[in-house]
Amino acid sequence: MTAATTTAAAPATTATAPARTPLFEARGISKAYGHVNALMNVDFEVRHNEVVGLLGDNGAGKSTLIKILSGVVIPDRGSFFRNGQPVDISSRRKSEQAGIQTIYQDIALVRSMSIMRNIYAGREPLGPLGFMKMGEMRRTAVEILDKYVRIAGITSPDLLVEELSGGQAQAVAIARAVHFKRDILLLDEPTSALSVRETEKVLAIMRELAESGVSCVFVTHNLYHAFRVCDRFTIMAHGQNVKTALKADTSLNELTDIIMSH
Amino acid sequence: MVASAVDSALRYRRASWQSRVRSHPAGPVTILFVVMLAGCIVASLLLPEQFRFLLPGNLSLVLRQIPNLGLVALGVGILMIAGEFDLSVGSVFVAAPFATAVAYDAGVPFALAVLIAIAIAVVIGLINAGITLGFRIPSFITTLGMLFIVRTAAPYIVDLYGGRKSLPFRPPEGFKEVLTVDVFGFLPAQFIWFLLFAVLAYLLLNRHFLGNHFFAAGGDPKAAQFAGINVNRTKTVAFVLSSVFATISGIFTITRVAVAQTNPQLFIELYAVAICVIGGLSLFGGRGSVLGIVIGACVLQLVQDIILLAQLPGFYLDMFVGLMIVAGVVINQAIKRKY
Amino acid sequence: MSQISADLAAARRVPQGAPWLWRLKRYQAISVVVVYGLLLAVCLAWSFAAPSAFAFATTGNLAVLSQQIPVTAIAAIGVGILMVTGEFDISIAGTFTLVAFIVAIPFSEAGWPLWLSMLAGFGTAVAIGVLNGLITAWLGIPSFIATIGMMFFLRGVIRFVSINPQTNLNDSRPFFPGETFEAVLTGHLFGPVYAQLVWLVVVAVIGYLILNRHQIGNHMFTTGGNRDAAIAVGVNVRRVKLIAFVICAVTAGFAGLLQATRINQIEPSFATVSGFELEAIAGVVVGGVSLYGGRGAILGMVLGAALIETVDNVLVLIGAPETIFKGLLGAIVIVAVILNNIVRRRG
Repeated sequence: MTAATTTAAAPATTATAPARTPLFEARGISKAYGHVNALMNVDFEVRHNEVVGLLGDNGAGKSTLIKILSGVVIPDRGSFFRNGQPVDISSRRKSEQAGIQTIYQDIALVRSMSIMRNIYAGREPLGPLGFMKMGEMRRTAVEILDKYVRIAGITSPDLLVEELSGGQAQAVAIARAVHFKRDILLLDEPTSALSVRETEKVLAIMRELAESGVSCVFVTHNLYHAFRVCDRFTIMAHGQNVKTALKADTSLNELTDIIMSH
Repeated sequence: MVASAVDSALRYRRASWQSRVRSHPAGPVTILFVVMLAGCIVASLLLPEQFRFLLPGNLSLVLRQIPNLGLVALGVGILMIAGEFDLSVGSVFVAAPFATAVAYDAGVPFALAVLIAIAIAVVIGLINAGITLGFRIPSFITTLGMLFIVRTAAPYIVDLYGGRKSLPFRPPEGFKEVLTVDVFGFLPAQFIWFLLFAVLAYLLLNRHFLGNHFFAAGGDPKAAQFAGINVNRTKTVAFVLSSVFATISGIFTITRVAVAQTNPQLFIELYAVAICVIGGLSLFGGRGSVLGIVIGACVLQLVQDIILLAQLPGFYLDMFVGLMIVAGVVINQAIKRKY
Repeated sequence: MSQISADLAAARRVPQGAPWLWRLKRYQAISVVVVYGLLLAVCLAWSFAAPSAFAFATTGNLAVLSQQIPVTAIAAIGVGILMVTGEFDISIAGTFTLVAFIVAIPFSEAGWPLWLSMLAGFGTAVAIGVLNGLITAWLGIPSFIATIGMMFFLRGVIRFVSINPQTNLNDSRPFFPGETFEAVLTGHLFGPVYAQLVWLVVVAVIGYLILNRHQIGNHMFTTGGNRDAAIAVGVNVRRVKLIAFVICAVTAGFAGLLQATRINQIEPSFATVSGFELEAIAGVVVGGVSLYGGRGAILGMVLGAALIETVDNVLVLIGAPETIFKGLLGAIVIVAVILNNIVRRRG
C-alpha cells in the first residue's frame, strides 16, 4: 500500500509522453440536443501510460463526452484516432473493440453474483453444448484477482459482489476490463461514494494501471482526488474544452479558478 | 505491474463449507424440511396407529405428488431467477397437455402429439415474453391476463373437436410404465424423473452460460446489459422454459390419472410461486437454487400429508401456504440484508 | 442558452388554445370517458335499432347494470387509490367474502345487533388492510406477493368460518339483514336506478375528496410517483401505503356487503374462483390508472369498472358463453396497460 501512495503523490515523469502519438484522440467533437449545444468542437486526447483528469462542473459536457467515447451517443461531428489511425466508436461494441471500457460505479457488476461469475458474465468460456468451463473460469479468475486486484479482504472468487466493499467491487470491475484487453478505462466518478481509505486504494490502482500500460480517464468533481493522481487535466465548461494542462504546468488553485470562473 | 498493494498472506480459495451453507439461499428451508421430516418420523414411531407416516403406501403417495407442483416450480423458479413471474403456468399446465390428448385421440402419432403440446407452450412463452419485454409491462400482469385468456380459450378451441370437456388419455404401452412404475415397490418413477429434471435445471443454472445470464439478468439487468448480455433474449428463453416445464408436468399428470380435462382451476401457478418463495428464491430475481425449489416442493407436500394424516381440516393448508409465502419472503430479505 | 432556460421556455409554451381544452386533454381519465361513451352510444343505438335482438336499453337490463356496476366500481375505487400509491391488492375477493360472512354469521346465528356485527365486519376489513400494509410497507415485500399470501390465508379463514354446522360443508349462507337495511343499501329508487348507485356516488365523492382535496391524497400521488422524492420531502411513505391498503380493504368489504344484501346470500367459493380481483384491476387500468403508481383519477376508476361490467352485460345479452368474459378480461388488462404505457410515453 505504501509504495502505491507515494507514486500517487508523485506521478511518474511525463518527459517521454508528449513525443509519442497519443493512444487515443478525439478531434472536433460536436453534439447538440435540439437547440442546446452539449459539446462544441471539443478535442480530447489520452496518452500512453497516463491518468488524465476530465474535470468540470455539472452540465459542462463531461458526461456527454463519456457517453460518446463509450459508443452510447453518436456525435454530430468529429473524428477518433487510436495510435494515429482512425477508429469507429459508433456503438458500445465498437468502442470496446477500440480498447475503451467505461466503468460506472453503480452498474458495473451484478451484486447478487459471485466475483467469478461476474468476471465472465456475457463472455463465458464455453465447452460443448454451451456449458461453461468452470475449471478454466476459476483458474483465470484467481489469476486476474492476483494480478490486478490484490486487495485485502477478497479471499475467494466465490464471494458475492455484495459481500465486497465499494472499493473492492470497483477493483474487480477494473480488473475485469483490463483482463479483457481494454487499455483505456473511463472511470466515471469512481471515488464519489467511497470512504477515504477506499478512495486511496482506487487512486493507487489507477496509478498502477497507468504504469502498466492502461491509461485511465478519471472523470470527477473532486479536484483534490484528481490532482493527487492525474498526470494531465482537461477542463470542460459550457460544452467546450477550456483548458488542457500537464500537472507540472499548473496548480490546484489554478484549476479551481478556471472551473469557478466559467 | 508494480507489485505494491500486496497483502503477502493473500490466498484465494473456495469459500469454506460453513459460509457456503450459511449463504446458500436454500439454507432455511432445508433446516425446516429436516425438522419437519424428523418430527413426522418420530410421531409416526410413537403413534404408529394414529399417524401412519412411515407406511410405504403413504410415502409413495407423497413422492408421487411432489413432481406435479415441483416440475412447474422448476420452470417458474428459473424464470424468477431471471427476474420475471409466470402466472400463466396454471392454464398452460392444463391446456397444452389437453392438446396432446386431443391430437392423440384424433390419430396423430404419440411423439408428434407431445410435440404439439410443447410447441403450444413455446408459443405461449414467447407471447408472454413479447408482451412483457416489448411493452415493458410487469410480468405478473401480463401472465395474469394470459392465465385467464388461455383458460378461457382452451375449451373453445376444443369445441372444434366435439366440445368434450374431458378425454381419456391412454398413451402407448411403455410410456405410462416408464413414467409411473414403482421402483422397489414404493419409489414412484415420477419422482425419479423429477429429480432428473432437477439435475438438468441445476446444470442449466450453474454450469451453462444461460444460467449465468439468468442470474445476471435477474440480479441486475443494467449491469448484465452492460456486460454485453442480451437481457431480453435471456428472459425470453426463461419464459419459454417456464411454459415448457409446466407442460411436461401436465403431460406427466394426465398420464398418471389417464384423463385430460380442460378447465380445472387448481391454483397451480400460485402454489408454484409459493414453492419458489419457500425455497429461498428472491422475488426480485438473481437469487435462488434448484435445491431450494426441490425442497420447497417437498415441504409443501409434507404439510399436505401431515394435514391428511392428522385428519386436520383442509383449510389449514391454505393458511399455511399464505403464512409461508410471507414468512419465506421475510426470511429471504433478512438473509439479503446481512450484506 | 443553457439547458434549464430552454426547458423553462418550453414549459411556458405548453398551454395552447383554450385553457379548458388543454386541461381536458391532460385529464387522466379522458380516454376511458371517450371509450365508454362510444361503447354506450353503440349499445344504445343497436338496442333502439334492434330491440328484440339486443335488449340493452330496457328498464330491466339497465336495472341489472345499476345493481352490478356499483359493486365492482366501489371495489375498483379502493384498488385504484391503492394503485396510485404504487401497490396492488390481490386479496380483495377474499376480503369481499369474509367481511360479508363476519357480518352475517353473528347477526343471523348469534343474534348480535346489526350495528355490532357490521362493526365486526368492517373491523375485520380494517385489520386485513393493516396487515397487508404492514407486510408490504414495513417488511418490504412486493404487495402482489404479500396479498397473494393474504389471499391464501383468507381462503383458509373463509373455509373455516363458512362451515355450516348442520351439514358440515362449506355451503353458501343466507343473509337477511331486515327490510330497512336492505332498503337503505340496495333499495329500488325509480326507473332502473337502485340505491347501490347512490352509494357508488357517495364512495366516489369520498374517494375524490381523499385523493384530490386532502393532504393524504397528495401524499399518495407523491408516494406512487416518486417514492424517494416523497421520503425526501418528509412524506411518511409507509403510513400512506398502510392507509391506502385499509381503504382498499374497506371498499372491498363494503362491496361484498352490498352484494350479499342484494342477493340475500354469501357464496364462499367467490373468494377463490370469481376472478374479482382481476375485474377490479382491469377496471382500474382501463380507467387510466398507472400500474406503476402516481397517476389516476376517481372518475376513470368508476368508468373503467362500469365499462368492464357493461362488456359482461353485452356478452350475456348477445348470448355469448359465460366463461368468455374471463378470457376477455385477461386481454383487456394487457391491452389497457399497453395503451396506458404508450399514452404516457407520448405525453
